[in-house]
Amino acid sequence: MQRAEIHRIESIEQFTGFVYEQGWTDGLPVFPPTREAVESIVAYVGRARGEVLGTIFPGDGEATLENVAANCAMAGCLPEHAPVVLAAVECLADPAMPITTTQSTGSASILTIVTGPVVGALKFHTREWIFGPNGGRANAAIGRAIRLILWNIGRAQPGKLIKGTMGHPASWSYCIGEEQELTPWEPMHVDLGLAATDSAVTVMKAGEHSQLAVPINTVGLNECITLLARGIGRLGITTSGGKRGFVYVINPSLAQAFARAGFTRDNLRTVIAERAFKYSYDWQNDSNQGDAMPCPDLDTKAPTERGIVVAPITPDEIHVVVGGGEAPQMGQCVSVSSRSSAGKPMLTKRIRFPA
Amino acid sequence: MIELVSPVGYPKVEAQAQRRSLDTPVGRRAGFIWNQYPATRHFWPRLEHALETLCKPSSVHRAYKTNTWMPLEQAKFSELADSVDYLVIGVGA
Repeated sequence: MQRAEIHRIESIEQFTGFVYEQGWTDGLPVFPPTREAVESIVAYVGRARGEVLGTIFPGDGEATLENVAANCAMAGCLPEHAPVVLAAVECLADPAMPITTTQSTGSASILTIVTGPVVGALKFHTREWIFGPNGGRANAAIGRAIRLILWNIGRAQPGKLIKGTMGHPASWSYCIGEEQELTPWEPMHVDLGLAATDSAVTVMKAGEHSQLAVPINTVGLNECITLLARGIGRLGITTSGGKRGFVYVINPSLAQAFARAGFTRDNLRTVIAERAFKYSYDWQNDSNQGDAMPCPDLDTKAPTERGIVVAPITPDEIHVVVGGGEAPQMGQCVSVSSRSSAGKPMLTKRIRFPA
Repeated sequence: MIELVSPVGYPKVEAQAQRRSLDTPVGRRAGFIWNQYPATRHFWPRLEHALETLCKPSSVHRAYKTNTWMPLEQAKFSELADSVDYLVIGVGA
């Protein structure tokens, strides 16, 4: 068990310079992790400050309740936010979440999805601009805490232990809460075996983040499903090996339209998976989960002659989350995709609240 | 005076201490894992040849992957790791 180091500065004016000198921030300003702020988070959680939660990739730094609390304080978390962050840390420290999650040249980010009653209790902003910025303290602070934990405990610092070539603009803070009141379905984590009354955190190695307009006032729901499915089909990630995960965040209007037509979340996942395919013209990878190979019929066939290659996507790889603003005339969706060479691209843990 | 709690986490010291060190690679059992990344196809055979010439391993074991994405299968890795004293691993993508 390690105790966190204590540093001393003379005045608050020194803090900003100090924190950059120490390398404690990813570039954005942070709040001071004062002993009092950290103590209040530790006291709220009610567990030993030295409790080891696991190690955080890629640097294998040991996460303790105390250093996690310090990162929470720097992110502006309330003590009540800490159980959510701790559940996310449990996901990150789980060996099933592989080290390549943040080391890849592909610049994957960590998306955190919070589901269940805690979303309302912590006042997550779940509607317009759900992905931010939206003024929601829970969204921003919890997302920032997870980013800072990766930075300070996992040493996920560019040019050192992570080699992403481009970075990911959502990485500053990438956290959403699932809509509670306007959703026609139970929380997303019910699909994963948890109870609807539970609150949970899903952590996802997130690659592509794409917006899809789904015009429910001008096309039928059948076409809407095809649009969603093609959203997968156009992603290069479907053609490479490993385990995959796809999250569709659909706005309440679209979810309600699907529900009125009799769709459950489960059979929606199934029909999306059935229609997610790619034309062989676009298929750039071979079937051996690997390296790019020239497509044999490239440029030799008209589009109507091209074969259709069914991407082997299964319903269990697809997750549907409800969130975003209402827009009865226009369904909106954000699809987030993930691929992992080893281990699971996303993990879900139940949030443990203080007794 | 303001006291600040460090947010930094450090790797376990015990884990570092458990690492074994190889006193010399000369005459030991060598292993190579290579992903056959195109840019290394000229370099890698020369590296292997140079190391074999220099270290004169008692035996050499190889695993050449057919892609740059996936780790070597766990069973194959375990078998290889159990057969050698040290591994030279070529990665890149």
